[in-house]
Amino acid sequence: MSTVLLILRRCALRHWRLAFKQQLALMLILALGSSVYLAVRLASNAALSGFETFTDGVTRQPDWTVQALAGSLHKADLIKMRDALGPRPVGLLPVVEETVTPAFDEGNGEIGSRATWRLLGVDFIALLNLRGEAPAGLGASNMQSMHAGVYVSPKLGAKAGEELRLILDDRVITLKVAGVAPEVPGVPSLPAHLLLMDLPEAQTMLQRGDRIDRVEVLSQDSSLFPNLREETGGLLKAHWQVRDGANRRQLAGTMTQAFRLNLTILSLLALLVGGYLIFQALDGVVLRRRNEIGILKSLGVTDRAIQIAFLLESGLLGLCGGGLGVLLGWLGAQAAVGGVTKTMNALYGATSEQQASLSTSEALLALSISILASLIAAWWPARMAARTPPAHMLGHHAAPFEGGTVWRVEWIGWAMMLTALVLAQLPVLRFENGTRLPLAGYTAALLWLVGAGLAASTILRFVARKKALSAVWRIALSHLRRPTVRHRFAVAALASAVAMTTGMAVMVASFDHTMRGWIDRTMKADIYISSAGAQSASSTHAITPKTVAELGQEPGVEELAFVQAKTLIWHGGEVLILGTNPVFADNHDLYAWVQAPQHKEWWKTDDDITPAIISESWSERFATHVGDVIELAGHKVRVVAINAEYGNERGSLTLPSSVFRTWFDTDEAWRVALMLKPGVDAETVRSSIEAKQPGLSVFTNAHLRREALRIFRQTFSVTHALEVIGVIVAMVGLGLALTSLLLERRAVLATLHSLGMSCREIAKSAALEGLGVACAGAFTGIAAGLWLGWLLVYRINKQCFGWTLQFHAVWWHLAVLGAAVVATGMLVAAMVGRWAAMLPSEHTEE
Amino acid sequence: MPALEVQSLTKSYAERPILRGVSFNLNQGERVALLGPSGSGKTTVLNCVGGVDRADTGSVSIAGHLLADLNADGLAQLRRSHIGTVFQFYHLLPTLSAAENIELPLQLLGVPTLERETRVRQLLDRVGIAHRSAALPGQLSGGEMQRVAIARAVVHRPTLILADEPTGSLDTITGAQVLDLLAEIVQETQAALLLVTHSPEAVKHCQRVLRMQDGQIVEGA
Repeated sequence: MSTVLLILRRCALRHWRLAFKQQLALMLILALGSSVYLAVRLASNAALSGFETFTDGVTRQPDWTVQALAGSLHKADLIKMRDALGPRPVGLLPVVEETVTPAFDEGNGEIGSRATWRLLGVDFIALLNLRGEAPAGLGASNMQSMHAGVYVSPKLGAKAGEELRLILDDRVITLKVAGVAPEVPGVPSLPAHLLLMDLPEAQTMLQRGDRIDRVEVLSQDSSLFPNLREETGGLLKAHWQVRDGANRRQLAGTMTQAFRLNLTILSLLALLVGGYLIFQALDGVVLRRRNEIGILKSLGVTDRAIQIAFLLESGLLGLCGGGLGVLLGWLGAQAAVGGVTKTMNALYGATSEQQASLSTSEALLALSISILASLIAAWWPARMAARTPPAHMLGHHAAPFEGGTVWRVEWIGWAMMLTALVLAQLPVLRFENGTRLPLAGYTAALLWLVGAGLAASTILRFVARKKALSAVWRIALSHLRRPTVRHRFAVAALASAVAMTTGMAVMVASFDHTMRGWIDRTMKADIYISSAGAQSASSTHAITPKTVAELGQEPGVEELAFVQAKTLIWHGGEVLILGTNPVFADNHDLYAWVQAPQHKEWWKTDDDITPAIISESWSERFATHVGDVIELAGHKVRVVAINAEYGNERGSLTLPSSVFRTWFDTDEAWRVALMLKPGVDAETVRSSIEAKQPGLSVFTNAHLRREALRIFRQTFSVTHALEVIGVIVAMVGLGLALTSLLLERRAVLATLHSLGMSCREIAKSAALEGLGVACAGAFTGIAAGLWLGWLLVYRINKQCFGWTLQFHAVWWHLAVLGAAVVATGMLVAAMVGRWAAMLPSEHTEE
Repeated sequence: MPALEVQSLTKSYAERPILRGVSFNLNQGERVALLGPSGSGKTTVLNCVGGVDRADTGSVSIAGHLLADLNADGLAQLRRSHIGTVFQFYHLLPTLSAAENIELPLQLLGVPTLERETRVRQLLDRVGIAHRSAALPGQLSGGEMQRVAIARAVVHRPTLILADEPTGSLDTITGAQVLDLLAEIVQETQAALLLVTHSPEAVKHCQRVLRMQDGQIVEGA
């Protein structure tokens, strides 16, 4: 070990000092990889935690949350619960909850751009009795003020006595700030955007009557009931929907699964490309230091000591880079959390913007990943340094980079691709709550990418078949005809990066194309209306029947239809239940059928089983098919058709509105659609409604289409950014690979000089070599990416979210990508070639 | 006009003088051996003469072309047309076959394909490796590689051939065969040969000996 430390201290660290900028660049590469990973993770966690922290600050994580099977709970349910629980020392805390939007926040006209606050009505006296202490700084002394107005967090910046103008459903209401919860050390503070109200007052304001959204169940210490928590849950589950904290977190997790999966994959991609760069850079380091390694070996240093010293050096590099990455990642998370929250809001509903906080475990994870990535990347160069005989290291002939057999055998790549084709046919793994994992699909994608990389060298030989016209061409092509492992590695990295970019581009284009078709098919009304507080596709802000009636009276309106919506928990997962006027939908042909109903008037039935349409996501998620009879909220439902629905990946079930009203006991509308009389200007009607109804968001057909596509593009904006990073890194990797190749080939360069080749010609030859590598990488990458796109569109996407997409590739986009890769590859190679041509030649050194 | 004219050449590396006023001439068809102990500056002379390194002061003229007047491209042009080099470690391009290696200088000069093929074929026969023309350097023996290197050095009929220890990596018998071949070919092409060597056998093939010590020509100039 002392030898290793000696090498590290006397050699490696001195190189660090002498080539400080180079080491810093390596650290920054690692820092970039780990920071992107950490930033995405922290921002995503912060946005996700916003789903639950609203209530946890008040109720301190109840043991159980109880909800009705469908609709709301009634006051009577509380009595039933108490009876069911018997003498058990359990507290019941009734809660009503609703989202509101500050009226002063106009946003920028985009869905999801307005703030969403949460209004919580809770029986405060019961809460005090249950916990024995006031949560969030609420004390008995200031409780009196709870009888009028709302209680807010100091983070909101409002003062007691101030008035808050809020949009609630379709109304603009004014609430007085009754008090501000002081910050108490050791007690969870209220979230910034939580408004706390006394339960009866909240019920009145929300027009809930005696209805309650949920009951939070808090077990108290008791020696008589050692398994109190489990017993309570068991007793309540017999009549109501019961979830614990883990269930709620899981629900939020499932809800945002697609978005987070996208981010996680992309952040791992950032790490992967970071690791690739480190590999290339350390490979170059070994090449540059081969004389030194040779001398050390001839002095008696063992191969093992050399290998360990290189690994330690790389681990140290990973530690420094990782440390820097943690700092950058935390800063990046602060910047990214706003964007991530905004996207989550637009897609999934109200979450509050949280500060991305860095825990020790997250920091350690990022640091470990950085060290691991650098160790993995250094393993091969370290092994090469250790295994090459000292005579090769010291001699005039640089040891050729042998690499592993796997890199030299192209059929392994073809075999992996074949395996991927087979795996792509396997079904998805299904878990509880309708959660699915397309494990075979992901494995197929990975195998395909690696396989395509390994097989890409086959193309290299085709590229090199061109007849050499000049000496410059001949030299360049001769290297490609007999590619070294470095060539193969550079082609593989480039091919994989281009394939990933192409695959993602195809998926996004297919999604975009399908969405446009779906929007054309389903969005036929002239005007769409929702509550101004409805900031997401799955928000259930309601519009009262009175307002709906007023909208119908609006001049120029020919026809009005509305959709009702409620969320339910089914098989442990949240689903959306919709109520529509089937006659209206049928008249205007509004459904995009995946499987059309057998009877045109599908809503009519001969028995007591309710007919319903399920979305494709529902069908895929719960493996439900046409003809199946399911039990939902105590009712029997027969699936009569499946429709395409791209606004909701959780799955929706559409009932005739008459049935919906019976189930949920409500006439409130979720979305209203207006058909205008011929010749009436939609914009005029929109302005007129908005002026009369400040609590509503009114969109013309064209505006809503634009918004739908904007939200879609916002979701994929991170994807595009990281795609570009992937290709740039592959380009830098190509540059580093060529640098290593030319360093290894210094003797050859000197010979070319001696033969009379100018620096420009040597650079040109290197540029042509780079062009060949780039062409092979781009061609293989695009070809492999098209199948990857097919896999994403027809398998992974379908298995994950249940959406059928139409395969669509934007060919000119792919052509530009290919041309950009080839041109950049050639440019990078020319720069490296120029640099290498200017190097003092190895066999001319004294 | 001499094939090579070297006047008062000096060169230092890191303030350490390597050449201290080296002067000598080589006439057309003359074979000259450059001898001297390690560190005497032989390779530096060869580098400066070959135009791959520049002297601090002094001048080198090849076939009337003053190297100091040429920029990097000009030097490259001079090397490809007037100089042929044979190295101790052959330095064949590993990805080109024997024939392709020999053909390369002609291709750099833009010689038409047919003529190139003819000259390469003739030289392959001349150096006795026609049967190995398609082999890559890695598939050739040391002697074969040096034969290819000699063919490559003379294929474009240079004015000056520089040979740096051409037998240094070969066994005695092969070395002798290679030296015979080199001398014959140089005589046939009437090029001037500057041969850096330690070998007494190699010296026998030369008409004149230049002896170097501590960066100076001490005998034969």
